[in-house]
Amino acid sequence: MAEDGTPPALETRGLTVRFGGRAVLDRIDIRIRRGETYVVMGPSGCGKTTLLKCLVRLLPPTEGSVLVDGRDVAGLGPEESDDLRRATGMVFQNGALLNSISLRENVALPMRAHLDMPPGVVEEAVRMKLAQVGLLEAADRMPAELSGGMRKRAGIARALALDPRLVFFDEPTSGLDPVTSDGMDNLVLELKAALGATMVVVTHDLPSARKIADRLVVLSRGRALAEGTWDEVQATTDPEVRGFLDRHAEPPVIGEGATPLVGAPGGMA
Amino acid sequence: MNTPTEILVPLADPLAGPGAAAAARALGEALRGAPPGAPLAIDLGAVLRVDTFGLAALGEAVRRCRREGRPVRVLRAPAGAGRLAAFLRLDRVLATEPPPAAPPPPLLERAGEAVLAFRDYMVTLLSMTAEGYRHAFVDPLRGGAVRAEQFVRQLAETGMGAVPIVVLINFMIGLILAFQMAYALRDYGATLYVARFVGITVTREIGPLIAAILVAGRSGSAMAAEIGTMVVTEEVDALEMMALRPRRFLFSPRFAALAVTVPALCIFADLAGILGGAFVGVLSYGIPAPTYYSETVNALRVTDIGSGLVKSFFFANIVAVIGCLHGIRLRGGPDAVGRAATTAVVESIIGVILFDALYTVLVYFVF
Repeated sequence: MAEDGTPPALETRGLTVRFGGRAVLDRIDIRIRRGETYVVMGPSGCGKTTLLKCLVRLLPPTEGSVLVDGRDVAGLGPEESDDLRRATGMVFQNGALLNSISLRENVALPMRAHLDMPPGVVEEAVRMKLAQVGLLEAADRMPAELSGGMRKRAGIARALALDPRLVFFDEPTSGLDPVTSDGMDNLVLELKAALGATMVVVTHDLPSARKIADRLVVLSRGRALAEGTWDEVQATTDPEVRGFLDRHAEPPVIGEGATPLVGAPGGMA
Repeated sequence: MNTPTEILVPLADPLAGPGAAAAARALGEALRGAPPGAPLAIDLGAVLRVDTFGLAALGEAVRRCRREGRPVRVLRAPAGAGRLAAFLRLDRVLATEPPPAAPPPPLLERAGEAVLAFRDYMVTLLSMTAEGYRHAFVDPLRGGAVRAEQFVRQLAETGMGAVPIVVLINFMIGLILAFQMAYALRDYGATLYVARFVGITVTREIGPLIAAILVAGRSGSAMAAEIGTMVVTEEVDALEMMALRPRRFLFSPRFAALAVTVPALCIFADLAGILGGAFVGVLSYGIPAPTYYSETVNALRVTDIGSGLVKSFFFANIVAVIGCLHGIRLRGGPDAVGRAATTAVVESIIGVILFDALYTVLVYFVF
């Protein structure tokens, strides 16, 4: 993949995660190029969220490794690990805002904690981040006073607070109406154009994936079934991939392949 | 020349990271020294890289100039800065002023509002107590629906679970009381009276009070947190939509359960306290056990124990009403749940002790 010799922004080698002996991710090998938008797709319970948690180092893999810029993240010291976290933004499914502080404070928190900026500059930067996601007027509201879509956008503003070069999205369009959902896709495209950041988006929203993805991977039951551009993946004949892309319900998939999100080792929830 | 000369501030590359902080300081410095009305020109000729914070530093300077009525222009901005500025909606950000902090209302107004809020709160508490009596004691007699399994579960949770701690704490307090009273009575050679004093203090006062305070801490907080969480997760709305009347569904079994368990715990508390006193009287002051027993029995009248039990019944009502109310009327997100639990405990302990004081004074002067 690395035609020009530079290592990929993000790479997994034989990534395997087992919960209680059952493989939720089975030898996943993906390479994500610098500056591209990479979409991870698949039906519910296919291991998308587990893969994302491994990529952002919230969950240690059972086997295999995750490499950022060619370096195995398992070998990072605490300082380097913090540096990498500061250069990474994570957009959680429901925003994961801190409920006890206002929207403005939520976005300002990482800036105040990690940057040595005059308060006026932080204030201005917070306003820009909120304006960017259309929430400038809501700056002084508490998270509980926001709608679901607003909370998601606020989560983006916070994830982008430190101008990260690596941004992860967990289901950015789930639970949104089609129009808001399309707005979210536009925002992702705009982010790519303006920041040049590498973005990894986990979603099961086909139209959204088609719109934003440079390349994508389709997971099913913990295995990567197809990878490539939208057209390349569309051309695949694998029945399971076809079933997902063509939205056929397959009865046997239910149950057996589901990811155990509750009661699994490693603190997943 | 009439117009004051323009102040030129060249900014260094990169206008990003720590460079942004340096730029903000340089701009602040220039503005402090500038004569009023002198135009400001910010030169970005040397800048190659700009990030959000670089733009924020520029934005802050522009905003300050506009407030001071000072003309400002940005020279030789790199193309990337323009793109980033468009992306970050710099124009819109600068077009809106941060809203000024609302001035606090006058003291008298706030005091008045607090009094009104307190009145409303007391009315709610009293009407909820009345509701509790009706649901728990009147309706079942008329053959109304009873949530028996919930009631039993609450009995076990608030009653059985509290027995060990109530017994332990009251035994200790009986012990402490006996020591202190013996210390006071020793000079009069009246240590035998320890039995009488401990018996009366524990049954009339300490037993019901400690039992109620422990239940407030264990169960009052749990009620507020449990019902509050149900509000946050829309379970209470779901009950409402199933026509189940959340107040009755959630509040009545808890109210009824505490009305039974707190007096029951009070009996355990009385026994444990007397036992603690006897422990000291017999072992430390050589009072024969049968003597201690007969002293206690002779000293105690039915009204002493009855008064304590009646009191503990009302204490139970206070804890249940305050605990459930803070759960049901919770607004906001999950962070409000912890606050509701804390408030419930603090308020029910205050309520119990206020009621106790009132009751004691009333009983002393009236009966």
